[in-house]
Amino acid sequence: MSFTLPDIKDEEIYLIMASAAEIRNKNIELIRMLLAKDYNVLVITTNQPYDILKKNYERNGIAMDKISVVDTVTKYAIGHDHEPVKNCRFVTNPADMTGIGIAVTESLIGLKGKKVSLLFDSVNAMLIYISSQNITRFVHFVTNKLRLMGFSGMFLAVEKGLDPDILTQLTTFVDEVIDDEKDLLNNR
Amino acid sequence: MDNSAMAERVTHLEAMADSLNELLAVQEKVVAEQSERLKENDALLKSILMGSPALQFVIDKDHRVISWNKALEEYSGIKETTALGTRNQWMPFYDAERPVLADLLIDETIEQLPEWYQGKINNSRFVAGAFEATDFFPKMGTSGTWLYFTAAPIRNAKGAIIGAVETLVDITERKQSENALKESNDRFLAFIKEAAMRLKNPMEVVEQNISIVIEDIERGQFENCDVLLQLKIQIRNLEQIRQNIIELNKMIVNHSGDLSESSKKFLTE
Repeated sequence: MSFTLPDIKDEEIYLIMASAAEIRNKNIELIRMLLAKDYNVLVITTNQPYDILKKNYERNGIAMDKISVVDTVTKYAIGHDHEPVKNCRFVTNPADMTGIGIAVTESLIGLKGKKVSLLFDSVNAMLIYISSQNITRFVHFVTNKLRLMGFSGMFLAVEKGLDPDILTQLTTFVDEVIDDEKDLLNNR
Repeated sequence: MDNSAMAERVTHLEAMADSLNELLAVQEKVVAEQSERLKENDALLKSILMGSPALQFVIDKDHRVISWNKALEEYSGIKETTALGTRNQWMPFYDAERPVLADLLIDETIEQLPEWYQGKINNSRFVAGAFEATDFFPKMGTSGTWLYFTAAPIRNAKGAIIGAVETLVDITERKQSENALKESNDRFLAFIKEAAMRLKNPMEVVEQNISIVIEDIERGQFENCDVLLQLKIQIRNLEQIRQNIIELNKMIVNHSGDLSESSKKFLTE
């Protein structure tokens, strides 16, 4: 299935809804599309660890040279530091909002002057570790950062898993919501 | 007329005068008795009005206060002697002069009720022609007072309105309890909603992650270290989900006081 996202506009922020089964593929499709549009991509991963994410990308012909990662799960799962990786920052655990905030800020500063898009994968996986209220705050924090720096961003979420009130709040932080399932249905 | 006829006439007139005097005496007695009864009734009525634990006042057709009970004296700080004969019935409740419910009923300006009591006024469920409302009065009490109040017109024998009575009951404690209960229920429901979201999502995430690991194994596209890492993450996820369930159970236990100790222990440990 090819992703039907309309042309991404520079500096715009999107909330992308997908089915739970499609989230991993969606990540790959978005990365591929962003790289094709010459973006440098900062991936915040709350579910797939860096090592596996990297192998997935490489298996799908995606080079890592324009991708940097904030990994919130590896260190927590293995219980100790991962060996340093040039393009990845490992955060202690997925509930460490301060640590994630610092890692994202530093990573974005490091990309200043480049064409950048952030890919957050995913809102739903983060719900295991933090409350919806804190997720909303975090998304607000990140979208503010992106707007201040003139970067674009994409937040992946599983629609059916989110309370409509939370979804409405998230919607207010982004420029557009793209519901792949609904768009596909509409296009049929 | 001869003397005897005259004497007879006088005797007759004297008898009539005696009868009239007797009748007058009886009438005076009846009037005195009725007057006494009226006084007693008046005293009884006043005693009922004054002794009512509800705040109550009565106004006549000129909107002047003709009764102002003890409870209202206490609540408003305005003495009956000060209130009687005035049109200050608004004073305990509002900052500026305005008609109270009883005033509107006396004037039969029911169409103005929504203007003064929008969304708060209803026909009385018990008294024809009466109205009832519930409102918050910020001026009353230390931090405002909730009052349930009802007003009814008073009519004479011919059905004409000659006054109106307004009764007010302080329902602040009940309202505060209702609000506290509502807030508690709202918090509980919000927590349940959040918990449902934080259980449904993670289970789906873990399910998908394990499916992916299985697919990779089935396709032979896996390395042991990757499978191990993925499984470690899923164990961490499941640990956190169990923790989230315990948090949810604690909230349920706190909300439902009638659980046995063993059930509480089972749910929260």
